[in-house]
Amino acid sequence: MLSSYFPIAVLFIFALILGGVFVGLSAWIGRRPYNKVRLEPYECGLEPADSPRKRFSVKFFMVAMVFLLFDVEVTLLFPWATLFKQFIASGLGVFIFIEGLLFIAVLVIGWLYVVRKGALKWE
Amino acid sequence: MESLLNTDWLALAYNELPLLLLIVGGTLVLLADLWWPQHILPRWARRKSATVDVHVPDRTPLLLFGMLAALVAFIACWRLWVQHEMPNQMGMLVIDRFSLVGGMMIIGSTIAGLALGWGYLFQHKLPIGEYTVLMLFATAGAWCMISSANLLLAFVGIEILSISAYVLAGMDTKNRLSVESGLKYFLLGAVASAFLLFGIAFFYGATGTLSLVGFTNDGIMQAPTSQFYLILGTAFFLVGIGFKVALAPFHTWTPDVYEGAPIPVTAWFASAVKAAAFLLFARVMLVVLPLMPALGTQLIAGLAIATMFIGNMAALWQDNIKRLLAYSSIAHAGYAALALVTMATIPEAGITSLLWYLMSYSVMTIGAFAVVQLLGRDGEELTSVGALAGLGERHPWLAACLSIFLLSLAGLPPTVGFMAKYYLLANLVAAGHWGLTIAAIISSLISVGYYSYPIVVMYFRPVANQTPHNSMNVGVPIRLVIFFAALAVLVAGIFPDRLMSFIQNSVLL
Amino acid sequence: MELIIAAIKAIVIVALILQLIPVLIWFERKGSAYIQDRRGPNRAQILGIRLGGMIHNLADVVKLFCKQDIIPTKASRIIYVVAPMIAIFVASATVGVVPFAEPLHLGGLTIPMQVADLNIGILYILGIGSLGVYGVMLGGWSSNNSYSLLGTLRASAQMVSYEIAMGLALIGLFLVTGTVRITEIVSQQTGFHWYAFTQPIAFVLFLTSLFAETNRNPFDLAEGESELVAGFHTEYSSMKFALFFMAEYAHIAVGSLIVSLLFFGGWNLPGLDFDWIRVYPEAALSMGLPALAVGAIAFGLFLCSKFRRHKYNDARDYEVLIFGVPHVLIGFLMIGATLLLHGTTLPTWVGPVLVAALQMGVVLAKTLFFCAFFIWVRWTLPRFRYDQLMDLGWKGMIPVALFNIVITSAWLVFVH
Repeated sequence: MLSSYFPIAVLFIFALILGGVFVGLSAWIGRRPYNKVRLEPYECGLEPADSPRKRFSVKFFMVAMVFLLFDVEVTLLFPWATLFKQFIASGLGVFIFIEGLLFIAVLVIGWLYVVRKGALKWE
Repeated sequence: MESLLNTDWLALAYNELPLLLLIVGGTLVLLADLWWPQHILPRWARRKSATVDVHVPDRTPLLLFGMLAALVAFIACWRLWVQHEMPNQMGMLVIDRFSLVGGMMIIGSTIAGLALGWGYLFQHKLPIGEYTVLMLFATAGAWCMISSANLLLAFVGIEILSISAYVLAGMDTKNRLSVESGLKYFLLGAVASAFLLFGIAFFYGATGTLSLVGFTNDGIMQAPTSQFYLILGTAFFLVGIGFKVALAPFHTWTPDVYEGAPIPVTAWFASAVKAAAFLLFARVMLVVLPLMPALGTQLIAGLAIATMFIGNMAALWQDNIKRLLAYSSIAHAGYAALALVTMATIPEAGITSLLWYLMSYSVMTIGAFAVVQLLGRDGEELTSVGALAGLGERHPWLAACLSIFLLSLAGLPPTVGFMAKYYLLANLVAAGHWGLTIAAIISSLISVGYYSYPIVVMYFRPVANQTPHNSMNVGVPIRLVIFFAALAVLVAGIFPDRLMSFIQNSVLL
Repeated sequence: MELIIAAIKAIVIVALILQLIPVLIWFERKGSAYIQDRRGPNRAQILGIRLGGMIHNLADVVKLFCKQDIIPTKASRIIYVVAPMIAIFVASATVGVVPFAEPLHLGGLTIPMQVADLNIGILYILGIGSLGVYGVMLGGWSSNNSYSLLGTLRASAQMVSYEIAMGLALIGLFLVTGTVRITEIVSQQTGFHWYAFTQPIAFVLFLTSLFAETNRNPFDLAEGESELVAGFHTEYSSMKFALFFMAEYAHIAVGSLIVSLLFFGGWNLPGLDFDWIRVYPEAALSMGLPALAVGAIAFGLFLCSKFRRHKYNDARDYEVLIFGVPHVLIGFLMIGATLLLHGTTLPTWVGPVLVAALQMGVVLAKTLFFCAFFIWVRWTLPRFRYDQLMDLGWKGMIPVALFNIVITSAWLVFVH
């Protein structure tokens, strides 16, 4: 079972080497920066007006949090969807349909709450 | 698959009626809250009146509906209690009289908590719909905890309860203390949940099952590794659940959270959350302790002693009533943990005294918090003990009620607190723990010191400045809560037989 | 042995995807040029041969390798260097479970035409693909630049938002397929039973969220060059920038590959009976080769007819011949091969190999079609506003996807 993941491991190693080689080669071949000004943060040649390491809009946290909730629920729906036909075949179609419907209803209620409360409202 | 086809879904739904009612009620409130019209109450209902000194918000019907849903769930619990002589095991949930009594206790606390919200929420402009929804969902989570036969479901219940509780604690976003308490509770609670989950994982490692029914003394359990995992699991579980019920080394969050959270929420924390966590604690320990060496019982006993003394000693220095009651709640968690020690030797007696203790503690702590809440002036909570000065003259009935609650918390006759402590210690002696009993009595004597402090202030300290202590008009429900709580404390304290037989009928192991 | 086969497959498949990147870049440059009615890049040359701008890719590689390797002083060095590596890692690791053809049976040996045939199939792609947000997020954050940070925030919020719609769209598909193994999903789509037709809502949703996931126009607010310079990779230069760039195109290639496998029948093409070809490769070849030969010769002759001696007065005049003559030659070779084949019996391995090659060709053709679609959309549609983008994701696609799930499952239970 786990041995079927062996080629994936090979692929991972290869992909890592790929990135490393590209970055390493360009660092080796490329010219050394000779101008200190070039190493400053790019802001159209002016002194940086503000540090980016500051607080930013809470909306993004909101999106991240709501994503986390919904993504977990989507993940829980995967096995349901995949086994749906097997349940129908064993005569439990209506049961599994209603179960899924209940789950989706919970999802929809949560979604309605999020939308109505304006958590996803952008000015 | 076959078993799914043959399940009687209606019977299942009927047996889980309280849970379904709480969830469906909460969901309906949630949805109604989203589209609630701006002006739905008629003008006469919205205006200030003699009984309510603030405008009644338009979302008040949601609170009432939540109370109604909880009430119906309570009645459903009662009906089930009457019908269920024997435990009814259904997959992950077990419906026996133990869980039904616990359910009634918790749902009763929730009704009281919602009733306390009336007025407080108006004055502090808190979101009524969300308060109701969170209360109902948290109660559903508590139900999952106390009636679960499976540790996984219990954990889900704990998380439903805890996450709702974190939000409830931080609900008053305009109040820095409330936000702080919500954040503290959340951070520490998350760590505690992780410990709990670790404990559950070790239990699984020891027994190979998550079902509490499967924790039996068979061959697997005799293996030394199983014993090791079991002890490790118990230790982790104690840390996690010890946090939830505020046992001594893990109690530090309690004063801050109880102080910062809105008073109705605090009252509900002290009663419902604590009861739910204790009942789950008891349910797990009931099957785990017999499998273990005496070490587990000794651990709980040690925690209980530490909790009692730390809670009571720290409370002596408190000048803030909410903090005082918070430390008192820690101390009471210590007493209740003694019931678990009893349970290790005499299970029936232990559970009886635990139910007794939790029930009486819920009633008296809700009463005490309700009085404190009623004393708050418009938009401000009254928290310092000194502000109680002269209350005995100004509001004799209220002062009397508060005195009753405090005396009951101290465990003096003729109150229910005395009866509860009496049964607890009597059973402890019966189980042969003399040392623990003496420690409990000593710490109880210490506690009289700080419980009498507010009483002394109320009756004997002259009023310093004659500020017009106006407006205690926050509605009928809170007065009803205080009245019924005081009545219950006195009646159950003087005539405990019926309640005793009710509880003993509930414990059929 | 296993190690060698796995390594060969991994290298070949990743190389295939990497090989698509310059093609796509060239296609994008030229395609955008023709959409905007201009010529596009055509300057870079080797000995005067320009191949219609193809040489630009080669020049770009050389240029990017030789550029100054800038790490801004304020950047968090390690994260800054690692971020583009994550991006290219994710882009090339996603192809791990993507099959290009049916498993190849060669003398008792079964070689799956993919790196690994995992039972979790698409879930692997979703899992690895969702890691892509880390490259973007770490890259933008570690640059310590306001533009980068804004681009990063937008990009990550957008990517996670559309991931939900993508997952929900796939659930609609899984309801019908009953499996998440891609080979099985493809083998269910024989003839014209492509899931793009039986699950049209899921198809549209999946395609749309794929656009958003790859940060492509009309969803390229992360770059938004008129507002944010270059978005999250503002501070990146030389090969580190190129890795982000390559990752984007690799994402497009892999995304198109997945769409064509899941929704467009994969290697199934109406009229192509692979079982028959596998048994009678001679007949298939003797019919297919002449047809191909005629096509190649016609195309080659058409190109040669375009030859004018003094059109540009340099090597470009001969480009049509460089392309045209080989086509004609290959065409004649094919005809010769057909004649040679006549009457002979081919060895048994020819059938399966031919089928695998054909299937791979079909899959790649469909993939290239979707790649072209990506480019076409990019240069046709205007960019969204940010609130519109989030509204489309959260308030448009998620409810539609849920609706699709309910309708599909109800249809399966009550009608089917």
